[in-house]
Amino acid sequence: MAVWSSPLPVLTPLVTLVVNRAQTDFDRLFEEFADPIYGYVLRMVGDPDRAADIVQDTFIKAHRHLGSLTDPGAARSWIFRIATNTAIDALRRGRWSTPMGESADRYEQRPDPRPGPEAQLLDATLDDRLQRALLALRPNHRQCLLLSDLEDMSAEQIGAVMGLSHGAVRTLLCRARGEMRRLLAAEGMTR
Amino acid sequence: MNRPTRGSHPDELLSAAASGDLTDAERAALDAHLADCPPCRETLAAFADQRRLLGGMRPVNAPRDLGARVRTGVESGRGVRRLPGWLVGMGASLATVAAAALVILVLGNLPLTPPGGSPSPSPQASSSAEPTASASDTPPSVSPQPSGPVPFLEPGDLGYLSLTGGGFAEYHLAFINDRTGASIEAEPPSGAPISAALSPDRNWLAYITQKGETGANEVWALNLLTGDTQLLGCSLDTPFTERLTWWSDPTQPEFAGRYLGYTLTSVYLGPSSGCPPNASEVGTTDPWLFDVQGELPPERIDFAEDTYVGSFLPIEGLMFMVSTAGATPASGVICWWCDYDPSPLQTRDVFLPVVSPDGNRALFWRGTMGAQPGGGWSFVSGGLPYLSGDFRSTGPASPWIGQPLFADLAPVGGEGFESGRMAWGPDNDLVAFWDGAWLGAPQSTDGRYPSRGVYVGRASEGLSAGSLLPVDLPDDAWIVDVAFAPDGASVVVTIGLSSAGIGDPPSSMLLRYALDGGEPIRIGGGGPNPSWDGPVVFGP
Repeated sequence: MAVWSSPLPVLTPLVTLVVNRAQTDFDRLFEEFADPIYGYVLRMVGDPDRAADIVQDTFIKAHRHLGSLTDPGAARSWIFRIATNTAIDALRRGRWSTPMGESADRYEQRPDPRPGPEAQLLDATLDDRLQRALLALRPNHRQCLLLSDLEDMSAEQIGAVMGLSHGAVRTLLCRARGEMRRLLAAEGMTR
Repeated sequence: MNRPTRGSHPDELLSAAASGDLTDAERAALDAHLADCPPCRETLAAFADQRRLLGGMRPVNAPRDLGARVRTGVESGRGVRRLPGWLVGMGASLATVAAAALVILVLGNLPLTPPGGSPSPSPQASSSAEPTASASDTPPSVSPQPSGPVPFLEPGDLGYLSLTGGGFAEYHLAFINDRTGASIEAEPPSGAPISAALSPDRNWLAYITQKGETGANEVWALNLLTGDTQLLGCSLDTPFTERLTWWSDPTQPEFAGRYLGYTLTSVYLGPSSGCPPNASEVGTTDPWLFDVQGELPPERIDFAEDTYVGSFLPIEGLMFMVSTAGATPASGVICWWCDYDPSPLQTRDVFLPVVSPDGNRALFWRGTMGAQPGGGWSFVSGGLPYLSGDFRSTGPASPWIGQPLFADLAPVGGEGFESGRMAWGPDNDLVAFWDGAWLGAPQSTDGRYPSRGVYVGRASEGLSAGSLLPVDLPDDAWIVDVAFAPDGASVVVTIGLSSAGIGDPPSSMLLRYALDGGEPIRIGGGGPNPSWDGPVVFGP
C-alpha cells in the first residue's frame, strides 16, 4: 500500500524498537503467569490437555491485546480475565467437564470402576478428592472459589477478572462455599 | 448486601470473613452474632478449612512446550492474510471503486435457471465497471412455493426449539408453537440449539446445534410442512458463524424463503460423524447457500479464503453480502441479477453487515482481526459494532463511514470487543447487541460495563450502559440468542445455564422481556427437567 512505501525505511528502527519492547513485556508476562494460569485453568477444566490448549489460546490472545493493557499493575487481573473468558468459551463448546486425565469417550463407555466409598477415600489423594469436588461445582462457582482460595485474590480483584461488582462476588463466593462445603463433606473432608 | 441463606444466619458475612473481606462494622456485627450462634461458628470454621485446603493444593507447572506452542500460535496468527483480488482497491474513493475496482461475481452454477438459457458451468468474475448481461436482466421466473397446508406458525406466533433427554441418553428436539402447543419432531441432534431463523414464508426453520463435546456445531434445515430434517453441514464453533440469513425481498415474494445463507468453518470429525463433505481445508471459513427447491446439495460458495455470510439485500436483484476476514476485513456483494449498482456497498474495514429489514442501513463490525488458533477469526484490536448511514441517501459520503453503535464507550489503546452478536428489531431502529466479549478495561466504576449481557435500544440514539436489559439470572448464565417480537414491544432471550455436573445435559431458560419494563415471562419449561428451550423465532 502506498502509505508504507515511502516512510517505511525511516520508521523501521522505531517499529523494531516498539515490537521488541512489546515482546519483552510479553515474555515477562508469560514467565510470571504461565504456571499460575495453567494451574488455575487445570483446576477449572480438570483435564491437562484441554488446560494446555486453553492456556495457549489465552497467551496468544494476550499477545494480540497487549496494547490494551495500559496499567501494568492490572496485569494479573487482566491475564486471569482472558483465561477465564477463554475457559468459559471452551466449556460452552463442550458442555461437560471430564475427570482429570480421562477422555470423554472413555468416561462414557466405561462401567463404573470405582471401588466402594471407604476404599475410594483411602486411595484418592487429597488433591484428587478436592479436584473431584471442584469439578462438581458450577463453572462460575469454581472460578470464584479458585480465584479466592487458590489465587488469594480479593473480592475487588475477582470482580475485575469476572466482570462482577464487589457485592456480586461476595454473593457468588458465599454460594460457592456453601456448595463446596456440601461436596467436601460428601468426600469426608470437612466438617 | 447480606443475603442469609440459612434462616437468619449471615452466610455471606461468614464467607466474607473467611476471605478477610469485612468492614469494621461488619466484623463487629458478625462477632456479636457468633457469640450466640454455634452453627455459624461451625460454618465459619468449615469455610476456613475449605480455604486452607484449596490454598494448599499442590502447585502445578505449565507443560514445558507451552512457550513454543504460544510462539507458534502467535506467529501463525500474526501474518496478514492476502486480500483476494476482488477486494483490492475497495479502500479507495467511491469514484475509484466505481470506475476501476468494481468486481461483480456472477454465480452461474446455482440450481437456478438464469435468464434466457441454461446455467453456465462455473462461477464467473467480471472486472468490468459496466453491468454484465446477467446483471442487467430481470430475475428469471421461478415457480412460486406451492400453497400447501397452513403454515405451522401464523403471523406473530412464537415458535421455539425444545431439547430434552441427553446426558447419556439420546436427545429429542422439537419445534413448538407456543400458542397452540403443537410440535414438530426434528432429527435428534447431539447438543443444544444455539441459533435459529425462520424463512420469510414460514415453511422452513434453519437452526444450529452444538455437536456434543467436539467444539463443533451442526447446521440444519427443518421443513415445517413435511417435518423432514436436513443436515446442511458441520462447522467449528468459531465467532460469527452463528449467523443464518434467509433471502427476503418484498418485491419478489415468489422467492421468499427460497435461499438460506450460512457460514461453515471446515472441520473434520471422522467418517462416523455424519457431517456432509466439505472440501475446504480444515479451519477455513466459507459462505454456503441452501436452495430449498434445489435438487443439488447445499453449495459452498467458492469465493475467497475465510469469507462469512453477511446479509441478503432486500432490494432489486438477488444480492448477497459476504465479508472476508483479515487483519483489515472487507465486505462485498455477490449478485445473481444486478439491477442495482452495488458499488457503494463494497468496502474495506467493514465486517459482517447485518442489514435492517427495510434494507436501508446495516449494523457491522470494524476493527483489526486475527486468526484464532485452530480456525476462525475474531477481533484483536479496536473491534467495535457500528451503524451505517442510509444506503439510499445520495450524499457524497460513503454510508459505511457510519458511527459506533455504543454511544458511551471510550476505548483507548486498541480496546474493543473480541466478538459479539447483533440483531435488528422490526421497526428498522430497535437493535440488540449481546454476548460481547470485551477485552479492555471496564468502562464503568462498578467494573461491569460492557458485560456479556443483552443491550437493547434505538440505533438512532445509540446503545449505552443504560441499554442493558435487567436480566436477573444465575451468575453462570450466558446469552445464547435474542429475538424481537414482530410488534417490537418485547424481546425473547435464550439463556444457557451451566450444567450442574459431569454428564448432565445442558439446560436453558427462555424469558420474554417487555421493553417498557415489568417482570420477564418464562416461556417453555414444559419438558422433562432439565431441558433446553430456545432459541425462538416469530411468524413474520
